[in-house]
Amino acid sequence: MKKSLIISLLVLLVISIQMTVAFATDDDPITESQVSLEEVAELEENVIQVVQPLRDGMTSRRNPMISFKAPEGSTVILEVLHNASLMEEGENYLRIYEPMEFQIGALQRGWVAGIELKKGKNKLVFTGTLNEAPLPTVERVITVKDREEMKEEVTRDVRESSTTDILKRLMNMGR
Amino acid sequence: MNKEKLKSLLLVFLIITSVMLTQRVWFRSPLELLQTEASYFEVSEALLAETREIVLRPERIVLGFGGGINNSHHTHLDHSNLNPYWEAGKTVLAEYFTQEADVQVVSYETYFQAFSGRNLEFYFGEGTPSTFLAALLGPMDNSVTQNLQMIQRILIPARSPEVIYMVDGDGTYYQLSLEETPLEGDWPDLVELLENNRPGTYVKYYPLFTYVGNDVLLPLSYEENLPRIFVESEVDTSNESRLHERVRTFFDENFDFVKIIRETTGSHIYMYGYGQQEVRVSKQGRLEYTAETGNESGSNLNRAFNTALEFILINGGFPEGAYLKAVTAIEENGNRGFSFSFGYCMKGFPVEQKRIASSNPIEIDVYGDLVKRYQAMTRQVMGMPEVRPEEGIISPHRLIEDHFNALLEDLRHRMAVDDEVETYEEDVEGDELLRQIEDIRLIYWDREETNRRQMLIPAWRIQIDGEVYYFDAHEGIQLNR
Repeated sequence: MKKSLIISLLVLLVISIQMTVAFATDDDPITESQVSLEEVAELEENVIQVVQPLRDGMTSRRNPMISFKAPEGSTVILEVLHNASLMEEGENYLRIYEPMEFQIGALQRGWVAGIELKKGKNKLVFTGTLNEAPLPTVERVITVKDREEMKEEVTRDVRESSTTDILKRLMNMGR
Repeated sequence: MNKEKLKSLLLVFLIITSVMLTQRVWFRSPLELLQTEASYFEVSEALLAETREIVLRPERIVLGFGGGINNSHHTHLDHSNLNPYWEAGKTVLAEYFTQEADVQVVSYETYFQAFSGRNLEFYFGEGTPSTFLAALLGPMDNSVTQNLQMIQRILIPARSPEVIYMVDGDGTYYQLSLEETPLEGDWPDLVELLENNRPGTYVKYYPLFTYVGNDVLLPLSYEENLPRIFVESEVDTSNESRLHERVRTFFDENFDFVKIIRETTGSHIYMYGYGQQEVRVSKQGRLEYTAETGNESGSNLNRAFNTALEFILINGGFPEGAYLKAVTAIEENGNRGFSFSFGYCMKGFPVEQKRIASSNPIEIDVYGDLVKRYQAMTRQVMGMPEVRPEEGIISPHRLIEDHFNALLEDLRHRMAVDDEVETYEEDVEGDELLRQIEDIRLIYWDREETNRRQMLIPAWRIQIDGEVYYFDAHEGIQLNR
C-alpha cells in the first residue's frame, strides 16, 4: 500500500514537472519579439521593417524565409550581396542575385523564399520609394556557417564567456 | 413400398431445391410473388469494402518538410499521388486504433509546433465519423472512437510517430500517445519517405500569415502551370437510347412502366407511379433521383453509408479520384437520416461546380435503408488539346491583395449581420480578414454550361469565415459572384 502510494506520488511529481517544462517551452521568444516589432512598425509609418530575419545573425540554414513590412503603394527593392573578401575582416560585397522588385499592396507585406545564400557573410539590402520619395534603407547581415562550425562557435562562446554573460545573452534572446 | 416412398421423397426434395435455385437466379420475375432477392447488380461484399477504402482516403494530404516556426515549408499533395503516404499513414494509425492510446486535449500551440517540423497531415471530409476510419484500421471500439466522434485532421510527426495529433469536428486538438511503441522495424520510415520520395517539382506552401496568428498555407509562387481542360458529362444526354439504359438501373424491373417526359429545356424526366420514384436528367448531364421513403428512419451511420455506396455503385458508380467530402445528419418530418457528399478529382485536383445551393458533385440522402435523394454531376476528360494561358497561375496572396477591399467589406457586412447590428462600423481591420482565412486550395471549376466540350478552369478556392470565394487562377477574376 505504502509502496504504491509513493510510486503514484513520484509519477505525479514527474508529470507536474514535465508540464511546467512544456509550459516554459511553449512561450516562443520569436513570436514574442515579433509582436513588439509589429508595434514598432505601427509607430513608425513609411519605413521598411524587416520581419524575417529579425536581426543580423548567424545561421546554418542557407535558404531562409525573408519577409518585410512596407507601406501600401511603395516599391521595395531587395538586393542580396555576398562578402567575397578573402581577408577575415575585409569586406567586398558582390551581388549574387539580380535585384528583386516588389510592389507593395494592401497586405503591406513582401515575402521572398527560395534564395540560396552563400557560406560566409551575406547582406540583404532593402531600399524603397513611396510616391517617389525614398524610404530609409534597411540592411541585414546573415552569416551562413556549416552545422559543425555553428556547434563549435556555440561551445567556444560558452567556454569563453562568464556565467553572467551567458545569462544576460539568454535573457536578451529574441530581442 | 419403402423404396417408392423414398423415391418420391427424393423427387419432392429435388423439385423444391430446383425451385429455390431458380428463384435465386431468376432476376426479373414478372410476378411480384416470385420476386427474387438477387439482382443483376448485386454489389459484392468485396467490392463494397474496396469502395469504402477508396472513398475514405484523405481528401487532402499536406506534407510538411520542417524548418521550424515561421520558416517551415509544406506542399499540398496531388490527389493522384496520395497512395504511398496514405499507406504509410495507415500503418501508423492502425496501432492507435488497435492499441490502448492515451488521448489528451492540447492547445493549438502544441499542434502548431508539430506542424512546423517534418510531418504528414491528413485532411478528411467534413464531419467524417471516427468509426469510419476505425472500420478500416481496427476494431470499432477503441480509445480513438471513445474520445473523438469525428476526425477532421490527423497529423503524424515524421520523426516521432509514437505521438500523433488529431483535430475533431469542433476544432479541438488532441494529442494521442501510444503506451507501447512497436519495434522500430515495424514502423514505416516517414523521414525517409518525406526526404527521398519528394515529388519531383513540388509547389512550396508557407504559413505566410503567422504574424496575425493564422497558419493557413499558401504558395508564394505557383511555378506549375495547370492547364484548362475540356471535359464531358459521364451521362450522355445526346443519345436517348443510351440515356434510357443509364437510367434503367434506378427503376429495375419497373422501367417498362416509367413515364418519360421530354422538356423543351432539353431535360428528361423519368417518372414511376405518382412521384414514387423520379429521375431527372438535365441537358448538361446532371442527374437527380428522388423517391418516396415513407416513414423510413434510422440512426445507424455505418449502415446508411453502406446503403449509399451500394446505391451509387449500382447506379453508375464513382468517378476516378472520388472521396468522401461531407457527412451530415438530416431530419425530415421526424424521420432521421444521413446525407453524404462526395467529391472527385481531375488531374489530381478536386472539381467544384457553379451552383447556388452546393458545389458537391455527388450528394445522397439516406433514410433507414432507403435512398430518398441522389444527385450527381460528374465529368470525364475529353481527348482535346489543353489550354495553358501564358501568364501562369497567380499566387493566392496576390488575389487577396487585389480583392482586399471587397473581401474586407464582405467580412464587415457578415460580422455586422452576425451581431445583429443594423449599421456596421469600420472596426474590422485588415488583419482580421487575414486571421479569418480558413483554407486556400487550387481546384478545377466547372461552370456546368454544356454536356460536352465544357472547359474546366483552375481556380483558387479561398474560404474566409465560412464564406467560399472562387477566383480564376489565371486571370484573377472572381467566379462565384
